[in-house]
Amino acid sequence: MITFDKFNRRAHLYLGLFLMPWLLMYGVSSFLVIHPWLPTEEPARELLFERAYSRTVNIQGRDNGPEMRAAAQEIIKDCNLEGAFWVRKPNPDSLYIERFSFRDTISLTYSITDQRLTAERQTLRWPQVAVRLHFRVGTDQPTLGNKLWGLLVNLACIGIIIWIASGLIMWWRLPRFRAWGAVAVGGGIVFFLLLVWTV
Amino acid sequence: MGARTAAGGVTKATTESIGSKTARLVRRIHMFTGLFLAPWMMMYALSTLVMAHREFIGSFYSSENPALITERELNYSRSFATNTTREEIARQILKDLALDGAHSVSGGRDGSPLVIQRQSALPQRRITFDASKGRISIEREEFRASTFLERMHRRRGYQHPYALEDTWGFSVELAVVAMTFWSLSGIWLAWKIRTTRMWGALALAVGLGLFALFAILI
Repeated sequence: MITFDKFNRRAHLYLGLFLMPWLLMYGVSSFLVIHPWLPTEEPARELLFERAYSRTVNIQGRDNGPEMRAAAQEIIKDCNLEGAFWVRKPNPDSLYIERFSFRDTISLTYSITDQRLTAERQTLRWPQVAVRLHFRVGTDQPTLGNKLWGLLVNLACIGIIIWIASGLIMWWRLPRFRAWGAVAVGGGIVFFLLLVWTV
Repeated sequence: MGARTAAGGVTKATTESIGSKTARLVRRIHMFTGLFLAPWMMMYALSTLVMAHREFIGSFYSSENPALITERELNYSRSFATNTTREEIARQILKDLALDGAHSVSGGRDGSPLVIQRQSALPQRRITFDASKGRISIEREEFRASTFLERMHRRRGYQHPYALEDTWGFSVELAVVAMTFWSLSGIWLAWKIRTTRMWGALALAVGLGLFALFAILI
């Protein structure tokens, strides 16, 4: 029968290997977020289409609110571009939809007065892909793929908590590292609390 | 022939010894950095969960933002030259109140009161200076665990001219480097354990496959 120690070690190992891409992504992307001076300039926009378009839409409510999202979803559907998006109203006459993926962003601008719809694509560069992976949690977007991504982000968070717990147990079961490990754990907690208290 | 075999054996043994010493060192670094940075990782994991489920977490509270409680109100008689910028005024006020630290400034133009948001992990404060009345009011934000976690998550340091801010920034950077190191050293350490190699490779392949699939599809 598998012992608790062995189970704990295996859980730490396999969970770590399974979630490694997320941990690595969060590590690399955090570095880009912390240092905004790194090259993340806006990629060029490429015009996909500009055409006459007519749809009665309700653009009441706040930016990205339920009413506005419902209106945006209809436009996105008409363009066969279903997926994750944000929507806002830059002025009372138009609706700006940002349909995004990890590779690119397609911006749709619908001018209600002119009855015109413009679509532009921005293909992301690698640093921007990493930053987008970092910020995307998925749970607030409509498709199944987004919901599953959200689930994996949750799993990565729970995985980190399990790593901490299993790591602490593994350390405690190694008597020769108990003293130095206690210094590391205690030092980390004190340093963290000190910073929380003072910054 | 025998001498050549012996020499080859010594070389192999030396290589193994260097390999196992390196593996031991990497394991130790993996463990001790993990133990030291556990509070940071716990904070990042919990705060990500809070941010991913903001609406659900928010449903436990009666208001969207934490309430502001008036801490104290006082007269403030210091006068400032007309060419003093509002940032300079804010910094001086914070120094006078012994509250110097990371902050942002708003208002203070066309006779409107100057509002200083004194950023802090706990507790965040709002200081309002009404120059026409010579009064300062200090409000403290009520503690809310979700707000605290979110604020800590977003705080990256280096944006303000304070050494403590930079220290926090450095600790975040350490956590970021450690995350990358744990990922890569974890693969290497797992590869060193023969008994778990196959299942470990499978776990890694499934994780990588899923990650790539989502990165391409959504």
